[in-house]
Amino acid sequence: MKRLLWKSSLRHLQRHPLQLALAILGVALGVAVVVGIDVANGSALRAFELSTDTIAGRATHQIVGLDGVIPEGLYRQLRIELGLRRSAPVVEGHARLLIPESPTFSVMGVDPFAEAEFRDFTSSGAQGSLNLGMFLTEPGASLLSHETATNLEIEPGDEFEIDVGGAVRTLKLVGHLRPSGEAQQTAIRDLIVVDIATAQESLGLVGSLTRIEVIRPPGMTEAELEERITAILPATAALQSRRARASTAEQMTRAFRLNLQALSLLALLCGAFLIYNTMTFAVVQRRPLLAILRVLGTTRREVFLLILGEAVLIGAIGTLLGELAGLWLGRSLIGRVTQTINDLYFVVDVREVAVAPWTLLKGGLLGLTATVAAAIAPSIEATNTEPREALVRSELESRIHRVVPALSVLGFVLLACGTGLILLPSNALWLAFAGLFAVLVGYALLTPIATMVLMRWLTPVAGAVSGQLGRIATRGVVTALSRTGIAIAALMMALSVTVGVDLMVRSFRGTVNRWLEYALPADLYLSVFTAPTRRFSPGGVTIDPATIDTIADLDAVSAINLLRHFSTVVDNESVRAVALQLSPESHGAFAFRQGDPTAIWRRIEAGEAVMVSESFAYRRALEEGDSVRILSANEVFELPIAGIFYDYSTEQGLLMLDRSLYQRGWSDDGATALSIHTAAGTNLDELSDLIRGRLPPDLRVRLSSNRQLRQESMRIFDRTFVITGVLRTLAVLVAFVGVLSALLALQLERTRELGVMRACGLTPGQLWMLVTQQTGLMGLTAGVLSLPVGVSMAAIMVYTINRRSFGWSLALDLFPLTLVQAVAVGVVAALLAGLYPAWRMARTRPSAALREE
Amino acid sequence: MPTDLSDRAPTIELSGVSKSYREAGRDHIVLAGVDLLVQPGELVVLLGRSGSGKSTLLNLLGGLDQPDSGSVAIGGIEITSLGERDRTLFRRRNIGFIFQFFNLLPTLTVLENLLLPLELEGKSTEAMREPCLEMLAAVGLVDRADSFPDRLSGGERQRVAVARGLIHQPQLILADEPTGNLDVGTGRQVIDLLDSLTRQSDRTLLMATHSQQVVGLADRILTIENGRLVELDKEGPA
Repeated sequence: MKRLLWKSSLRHLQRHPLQLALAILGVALGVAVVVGIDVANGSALRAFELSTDTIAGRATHQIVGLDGVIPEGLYRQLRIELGLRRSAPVVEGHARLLIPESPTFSVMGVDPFAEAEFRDFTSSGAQGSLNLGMFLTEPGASLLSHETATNLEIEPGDEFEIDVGGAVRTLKLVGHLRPSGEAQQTAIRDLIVVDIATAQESLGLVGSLTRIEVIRPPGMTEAELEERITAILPATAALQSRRARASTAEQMTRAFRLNLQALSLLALLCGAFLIYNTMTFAVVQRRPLLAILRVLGTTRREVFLLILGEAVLIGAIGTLLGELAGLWLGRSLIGRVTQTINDLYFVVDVREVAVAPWTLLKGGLLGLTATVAAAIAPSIEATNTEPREALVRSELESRIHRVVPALSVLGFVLLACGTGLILLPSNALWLAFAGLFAVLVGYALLTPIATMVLMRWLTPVAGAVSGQLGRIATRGVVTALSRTGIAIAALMMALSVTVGVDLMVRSFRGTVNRWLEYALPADLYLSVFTAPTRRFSPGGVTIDPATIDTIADLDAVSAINLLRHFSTVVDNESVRAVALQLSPESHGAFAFRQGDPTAIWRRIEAGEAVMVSESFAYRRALEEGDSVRILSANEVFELPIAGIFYDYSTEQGLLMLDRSLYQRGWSDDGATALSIHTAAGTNLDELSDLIRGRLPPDLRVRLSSNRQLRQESMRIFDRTFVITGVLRTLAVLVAFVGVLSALLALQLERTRELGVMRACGLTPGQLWMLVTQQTGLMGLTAGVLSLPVGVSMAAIMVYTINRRSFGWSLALDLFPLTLVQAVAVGVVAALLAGLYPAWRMARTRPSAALREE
Repeated sequence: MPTDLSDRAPTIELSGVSKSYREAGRDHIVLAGVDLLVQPGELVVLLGRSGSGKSTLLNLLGGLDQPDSGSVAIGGIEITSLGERDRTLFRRRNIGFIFQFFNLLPTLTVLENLLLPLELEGKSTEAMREPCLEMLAAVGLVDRADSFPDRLSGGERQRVAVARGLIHQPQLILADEPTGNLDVGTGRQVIDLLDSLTRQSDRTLLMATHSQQVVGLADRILTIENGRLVELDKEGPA
């Protein structure tokens, strides 16, 4: 590339610092959102992996229970029958210290004699400080990392209390875990190691293990090991390689992360429009200059490379800044992402920001690719124009007007293709996203023709309101369509993202709210104190039948429903299940997709059938009447699905069966939650006190009224969507920068034309009016056009993407306020963006404007 | 593809060149079968009212546009048969342009504007600095070498444009209304400069103009009437 061409190009950028800064800002914002989301997601997953990896130590495989537990005897079988000496039993659960704001700790029960092969920090070898005698003989003996113990001010020999799923246990610190590196130091920060028997007792898992870790013996192939172990495994247990274990968390949160990533890509798409906008302006503004270069003998290739080079420069600076901003954003978003993962999926505590090289590489590639892709069309346009044509401005607009029909046809084709992709009978989420993106780009291509039509309608109105100035404003939008069209499309795109996401979240919220209205018919809800994600874990305390009876005997209690949350194995998969004993007035808490509710309840209560949630059925492609094979502790149930009910509490899905069936299969009389109907006129606070008085002293419960529970549910819902709100705000910011950049360029380019108007007698105030009228019209157009696009987007997200991600049926609610807001934001953003150019134009002396080359 | 001119061939050779534009659904014929032969070193003036086709003819000669029919040869090379890239390279080496509105690059200094055509030809800008300064001295602007075009007056800008049009020693210089944007005195200076510089270096100059001042300097005077080239008597009224 010729040095002087570059110099000329760089000086052009230097002379338009605000435009350059806005273009860089646009790229940076787009990249920052993608990197930020990736860093937040990656850090949460990395924290999970780090803790599982470090805690798994040198194990190559592990045996886990599909219902959460495996019988203790399996460990003996492994060591004695199969001779797998390098194996270790583990009992693991979660607990909190009885202090305010306690983080969630992993409680890990180990056999110290088997540990040396697996973990240094739990062994009594050189690394460990384990006093075996005390560890095995002292009741509640436990180990904490030195750092944690110091922070909690727990000295060796001190006792401390933990809350395990609602039950309070006392442990005693007998030594410190000694990590061998920084990674281990981080992983063991929230770990309490106890003897296996203590763990079984504390976690309510006497006679069971949560996993057995195995190191593949030298000389034995992976296949051999798997074959030998699988031969002795009960149907409720499975062998996992270390790799498979690591991917579990990834699988669970896949839909959640994919949705966040898609939203961040939407922000990048807005950013790409902004870059396209900027680069097109860079070309359009310099058409005469590029024409001179062509006249002087610069080849098309050289011009193409020049424009592309500028784009790469803008892209590189923007991407670099975006990466830095992304790291900051990621750090800020980690709390929100972790909160959602904790609310919905699994317990994880993120202390470190994990930045995978791939994240930065991806951000860099996306930023540069989006910039270059967005610059290709303007670069081609710059090179394909004959120098003679390029010297004449009107030629460009004629060309643009000539291609509008073709653009519109292409827009319709993309709309049709996108719709086709969405309607394809498939569950693939990426197809839905590809369809959504095609629809959005299709709509963007229809923007020029829609703008022309709208302006034609508005011209008489503008004329009636502001006379000639009004007509100039509307016609100016159409005559400068090469520039206004792109600016309107960019703003429209960003506004439609806000409309789409807002309608989706509000629809989702509305659906959940309506569901809660009927799903919580009782007056009081009592559940053992545990995190929602741990409710289905094995072990833990339950409310015993005697306690339930004493509560039921209270005069104020008119009816009581029993729920037992547990995990079980259905068709060889681990599933979440609830055993129910409901009073007839609580049947209304379930709305079935089809069938007669009375008949469904009759079959379920007779123990002849089960019912499953909508997402459960969707994930496994089950319908009413299909059978499921449930492995209980005592027998195998082969039962039909009597009904599929709407449920929005978990995306993993729920299976529900009658309590009598559960008692038969699992020999368990306990309950994890009660819902209580009260007699008319009962004071709920007084009743709550009475109930608390009848509970065992070491049982910690959560007791909430119907209203409190609903509020809490909606609070968690809103918390989940805070991050969506952040992304939506960023998309609007990107759009605002885009519009500011576009309008600035547009108005500055019109300096001479406006100078002529000033020379003809237009006052600065009238000029101000003209400019703001035109920018306002552009904002109005973008706002109006964003409505059908945003509603389509919301419909695709509600009916297709949410369904494929989570298996939920949602109803699309059109909130008029959201629609009005979008138009208002469009107009206000455009007016604000037009302020500076209007101010600048109004201050420019007509003579100076006329001299402008 | 050869892009260097033959010294012996006529500088310009047009044969049956036609060009029309479509306007409001009708074909508007600008040039209808034009023939022309211009020998090396000639100064030809092209007169004609606005819209008569002067600029179209210049665009065809410069390879900026293609005729509907006929051929255009410059220095023995038929540029109408060249591809887009070869036409560009041909233009880069052999043709100098001077426009009514100067068309200097606002982002380059005066000296850099002169250096650009040379750099495009692949010449070292360091080595070419001295000849450029000499050319600027010849147009009386050596002291403005580092100024940007927006700091110059109209006359100064056009003198820079003349210098840029000649710096790479093209065989053919095409000037489109070079005095159209200047006052009479300044216009006269620019014409004298063009005349002396082209004649000194034995270049061919074809100038489209309304200016009667130029007529006295021309070797030949042409005009376009109804799409055809007509040669006027140099002594008679133009």
